[in-house]
Amino acid sequence: MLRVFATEAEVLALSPDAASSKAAKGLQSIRKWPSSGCDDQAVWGECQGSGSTPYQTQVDLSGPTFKCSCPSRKFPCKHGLALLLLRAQGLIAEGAPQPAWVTQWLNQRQEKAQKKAAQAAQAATPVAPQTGQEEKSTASASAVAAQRRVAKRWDNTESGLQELALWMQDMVTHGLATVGSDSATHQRWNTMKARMIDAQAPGMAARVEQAWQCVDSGPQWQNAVLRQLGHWQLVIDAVRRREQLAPEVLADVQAALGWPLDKATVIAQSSAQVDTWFVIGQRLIEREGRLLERHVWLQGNETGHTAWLLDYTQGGRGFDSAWLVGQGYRGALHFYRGASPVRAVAVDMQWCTAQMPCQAPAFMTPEPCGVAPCLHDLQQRIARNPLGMTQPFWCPDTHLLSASGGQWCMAWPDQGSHSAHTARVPVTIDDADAWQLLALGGGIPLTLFGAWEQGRWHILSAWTRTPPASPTTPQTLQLVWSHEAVLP
Amino acid sequence: MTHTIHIPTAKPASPPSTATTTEHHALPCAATLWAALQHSALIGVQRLPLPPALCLTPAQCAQYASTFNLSDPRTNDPSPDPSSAIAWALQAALCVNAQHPSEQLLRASAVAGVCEHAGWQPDPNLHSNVSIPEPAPPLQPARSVAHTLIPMLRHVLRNGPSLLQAYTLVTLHQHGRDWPPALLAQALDAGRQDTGLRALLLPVLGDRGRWLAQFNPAWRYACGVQSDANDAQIWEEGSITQRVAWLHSQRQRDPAQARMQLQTALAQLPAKERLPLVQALHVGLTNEDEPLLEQLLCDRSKEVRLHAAKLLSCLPDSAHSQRMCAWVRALLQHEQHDGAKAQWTIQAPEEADPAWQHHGVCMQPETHFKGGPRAWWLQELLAFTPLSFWHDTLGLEPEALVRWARHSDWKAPLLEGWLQALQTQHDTRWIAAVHMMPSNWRTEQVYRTLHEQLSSAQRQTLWLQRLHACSDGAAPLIRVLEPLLRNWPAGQLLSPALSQAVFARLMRTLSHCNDADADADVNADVNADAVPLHNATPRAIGPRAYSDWSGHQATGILLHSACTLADTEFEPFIAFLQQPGPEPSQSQSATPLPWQERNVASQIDHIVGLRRALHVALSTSTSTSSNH
Repeated sequence: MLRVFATEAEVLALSPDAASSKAAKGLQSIRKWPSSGCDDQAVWGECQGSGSTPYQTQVDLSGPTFKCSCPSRKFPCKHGLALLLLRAQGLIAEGAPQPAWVTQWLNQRQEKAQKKAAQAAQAATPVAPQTGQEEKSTASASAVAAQRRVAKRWDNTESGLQELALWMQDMVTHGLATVGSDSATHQRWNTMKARMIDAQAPGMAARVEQAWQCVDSGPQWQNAVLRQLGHWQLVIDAVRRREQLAPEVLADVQAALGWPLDKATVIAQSSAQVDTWFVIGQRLIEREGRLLERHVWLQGNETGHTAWLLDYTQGGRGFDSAWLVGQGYRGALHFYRGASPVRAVAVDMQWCTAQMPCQAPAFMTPEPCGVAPCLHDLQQRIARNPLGMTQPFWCPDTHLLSASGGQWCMAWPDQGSHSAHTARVPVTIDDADAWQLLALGGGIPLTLFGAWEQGRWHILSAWTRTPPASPTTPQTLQLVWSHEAVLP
Repeated sequence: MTHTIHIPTAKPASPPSTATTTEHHALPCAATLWAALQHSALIGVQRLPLPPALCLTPAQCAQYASTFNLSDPRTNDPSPDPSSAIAWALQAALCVNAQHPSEQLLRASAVAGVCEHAGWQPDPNLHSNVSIPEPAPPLQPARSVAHTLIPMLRHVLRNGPSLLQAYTLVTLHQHGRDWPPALLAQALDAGRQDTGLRALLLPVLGDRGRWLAQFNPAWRYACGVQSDANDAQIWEEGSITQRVAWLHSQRQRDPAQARMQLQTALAQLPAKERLPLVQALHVGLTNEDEPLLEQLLCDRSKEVRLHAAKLLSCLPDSAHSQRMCAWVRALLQHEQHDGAKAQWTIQAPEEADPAWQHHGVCMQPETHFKGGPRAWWLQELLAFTPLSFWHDTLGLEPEALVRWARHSDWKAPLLEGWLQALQTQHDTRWIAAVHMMPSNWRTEQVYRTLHEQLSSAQRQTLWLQRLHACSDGAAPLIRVLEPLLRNWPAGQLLSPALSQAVFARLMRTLSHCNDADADADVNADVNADAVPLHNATPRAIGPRAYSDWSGHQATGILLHSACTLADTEFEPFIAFLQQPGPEPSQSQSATPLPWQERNVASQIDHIVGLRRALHVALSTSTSTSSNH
């Protein structure tokens, strides 16, 4: 039996919202399912709803893809989730033959997939030589049109950023001490945020919001705001000098501005990196307007690369793929273009059934490792792309500690040493997460992974390291704890 | 200016040899520059212009660039002193053609911000007082539970019901397993609110739980409860809970020694601690404790005085008890009317005797007391009188005493006084008598206290008797099962014989309750438990019988039974509850069977899931783990 979606957490990761999770748990009784079955390919069942005919629910495990005859607009619906939950508990019998309605659907899906693959293959083949002059000219015409659109977008953004530049110059001319958190000021900041949206720079709008969060947030908040303003200045100057920038730096600037880039373009722009990718951290962030943002961090066993997947879902729809921290997935990643590529899109990821340990990044291999190479990796990433907001960061041989005032910090390992920890570094972690980490770790030194955001370190997972068998083989990591990316 | 912003190196370490190149630069250090920028931005460039040191001409900048050969940083490795490289970068940023000093300031801040971010180093002064604790002992696989149980354990901890929590914790403890570390934080939080849960939780916290509890002041209750500390350490330094627990066990081992230890310590103890420690004398109480208790009758704390009096009333030979008996005896009269058998009567005291106060009696009625001062005095006197006095003087058993009291003018103070006495005197002969008294929170509390004193055999006999005496029908059965299940020790299954009897009665009532013929059958073999029950179906139930089993109390009994029936009865009981109900016919409304209503059914599902899962998870590996 495939081990995919074998735990409650994995299944609930697919849930569109907390209400669906709860409803699905409510259906988690085999009595509510007059018939059910599963095999390696799919899970199916009939669930007695309020109507006279039971709903036919089926899940194609390869996706997973859900189909249900219920009228719910949520996707996946509670029935599909409940079916997977039951399966995770081992309550669905294997071995029964697929009913016709399941086989039919699976066949349809397979046909569709084949057709799509054929179309893709067709699109990928180079344009046949007999292509007429006419088509060439339409192609070049559309390219010109696209170029014109891009140029227009740059102009629009630049004029918006010009206003931003004047606004922040005004702020430092009169002094940040005069900025207050009153409603009139907030109004001005909101106007500027809206202006950034108009200027097609949603990334800058988010930065304006982030800086507003700093205002009046604590002692020396003006310094934090100045750092943000300096960061904006960097973007503004980069946009002015866009003609002179290297393509990958320009890509970083576009990413900072929040230009949309569809998956197909990313895949076309970069080559596939096939590897066994281990999920090393996951995080969900709720944004305005029922928008849910998911960060998934991956570590490649062969390439040693760290990748960051960022996807969104809106209006209570679930994510169409689930990731489980500590689990390996075999497949290809395409990295976004950039001076320090880290963001990627995943293609055709398959759950690794073979037992294989997650390998530590190559820079952690020398023993004793110490924090220096990890910090060096972080510095390199920031130096290459100062506009990047999120960076991966590992810290070996550390301890999570409860500091005064309900804060959490970690013991910073001294360079090249296992046991000495002189400094304490504040970290960002939920209380519930922190206590669970402590309970599972039991006070032994752990290797922590997290997302580094402008000096704040969000802890996402904790591991123990197994020293390598030989100096050339990498260290392996054993997951101790991970932040569970489920909605409250 | 107090800014001490620290701009560290952009490279992890600079080779020592390059340090010599720093001697000829005249730039202010990077940290000073950054601080100057921040200060200027705070006050406003308008009022506090950038310091002149920052404002170099483009020619000067070019000179610095050539000095450090920094024109192309990518080909310049190894770098010179990083600090001066940053300073140069800041200067260069300031020299870019700017329309206004504010733009210069922002541009320099951009450089400084990136350098600060990239060259981040920990602040050695932050939280420097937080030390690294000793690690916990490693987890023992034999004491761990299977990973697959965790979702269910999380669910039961979060959603209850409390009887299922109790069952889970007790079962884990019986199998020598610890609560899983992944859920320790939630469990410790839950135990903080709920003292009943806490008592069951403490034995399964394990080393890991006790280790974890030390870091959160809210979990102090769980710290070191089973610590390895020696006796002297616990007594001298332990928390009050630990000292009480220690005194309890010490009283069991060596009562005299324990009393002496307490006596020596008493003078230094605050009243808040004296009370629970004095209460611990209840364990192994003998006449030898009398002098100390007499002394405590003069304690500064009212609660301690009161409790000492109560403990003295547990010693019928004590001077205190003798005085109490004498006072109560004076209120009793043994009279004979018209040749009938002599009758005992009691009269409440006409006046209060100031001497009572020394013996624990409260002279003023409490504000909520319903009755006059005479009733109050009677009740108070009874509360401190040994119960044996009543048996000896009136020659009546507890049940007969209750019946006697019912005919008395002073019924309420008599019953209340005895209940109060029972709270300390724990005379289990009174259990049936308490059962006869009007049910209220106090009788239930006393009943529970007495029930806890019974041995498991006594407990079983008691309830088997009650079950057999119970007449047919849902309501009488509920009246017996309700106190049975409520008073049964938390988390423990019913004994096999009791479980069989409860199951038989439940099945008979549930499957035949509206069938007159069936009632007749049942009456024929009230004591025969071997009725073929396993093929019983709920079809015979009519609408009237539904109503008996719906409602909070009745469904609670079904749930409680599902939790506490022994394994042999559990599965058939669940099979019965989970089989589909009768098809709604025209004559019947479509309401589901009470135990198949959504809420109840889902709770039953959880009980079933958890019991089966625990059974599988704990029985498969018991061969490898030690059974406690």
